[in-house]
Amino acid sequence: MATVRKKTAPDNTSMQNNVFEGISAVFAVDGGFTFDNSGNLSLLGDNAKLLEFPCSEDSGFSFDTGAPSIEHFKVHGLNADWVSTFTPGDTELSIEIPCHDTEIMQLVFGSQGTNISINLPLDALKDTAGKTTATATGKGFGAAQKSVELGLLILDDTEKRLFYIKKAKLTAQVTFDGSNKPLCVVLSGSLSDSGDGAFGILDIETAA
Amino acid sequence: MANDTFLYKIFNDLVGAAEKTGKPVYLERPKSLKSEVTQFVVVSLPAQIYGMVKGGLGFRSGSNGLFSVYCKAKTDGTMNVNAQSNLVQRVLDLFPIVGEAVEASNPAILMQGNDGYGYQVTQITFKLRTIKS
Repeated sequence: MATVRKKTAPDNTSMQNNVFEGISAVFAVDGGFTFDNSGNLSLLGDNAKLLEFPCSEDSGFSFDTGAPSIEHFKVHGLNADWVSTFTPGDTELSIEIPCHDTEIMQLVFGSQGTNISINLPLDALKDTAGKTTATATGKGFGAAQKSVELGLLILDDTEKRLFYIKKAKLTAQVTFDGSNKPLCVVLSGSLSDSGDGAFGILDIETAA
Repeated sequence: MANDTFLYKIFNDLVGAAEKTGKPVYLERPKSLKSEVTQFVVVSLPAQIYGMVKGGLGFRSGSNGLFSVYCKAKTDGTMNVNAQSNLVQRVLDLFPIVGEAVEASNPAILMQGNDGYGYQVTQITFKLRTIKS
């Protein structure tokens, strides 16, 4: 873009291509990612597949590498720190998934679930003329909270950039408070791999 | 390109994208046309374009853009929902638009109805961000 305002400093406008803004899609992979020998990130395991998480529009996704806490050591007569040390901040990750898709439930609860069938009285329902039975079927899950390790891929809203998290340990929570918000599966946790390549923002190029 | 200004480049990107629908594209609803046009798209920038960082518009600016999709009403004056929904879908399928000067994303639809001149209009607003070209 032509600069509207003349700048004397080195041109930084090319940096505006390196802005990750908005979320188009969030994909999760059971077990996270691993690097192969040439440094390429690859999906873990032959049967690993990407599962798209719908995320709430409002604050459905948040990631934070954590604010460090700084400890200042002073000496008399000097206002600047003599030395300062810091404690690394807590990485935090939270995803709100406003649906109860069976594949998502199985992934985040780390269990296949149990087949459940409940017979319902017909007069509890509408449009039952001519019907004789009503049955609700689906999966049930244990309420005990367990952690799962997931890798995450986040596409920005132009789908030209990819933000990845190699491995995060997340615990699922189901919330439903009868408000405007539907039943949500909320994942919260932190990075479980903070080494090289723990997270990154990549450019997407497609080729024929 | 005929014009190197940043506003021109934004319009150029958006018009270029809208032309992929195969329908005529205007920058405003034409007052008169020589031959009858049953469907067309209007590209406009009705919202403020603001700098997203300190220092003015030179680095990443943001705004909202608007595609107005016009489809001629049926002979009784009611909406041709078939043509309207098809053309709206073709416009939605353009997103996300990544041009030379802008990125456009997050389309939202408002079905506005009759424009009073024999067409029904659907407004498609979207988020606009400038990029380095």
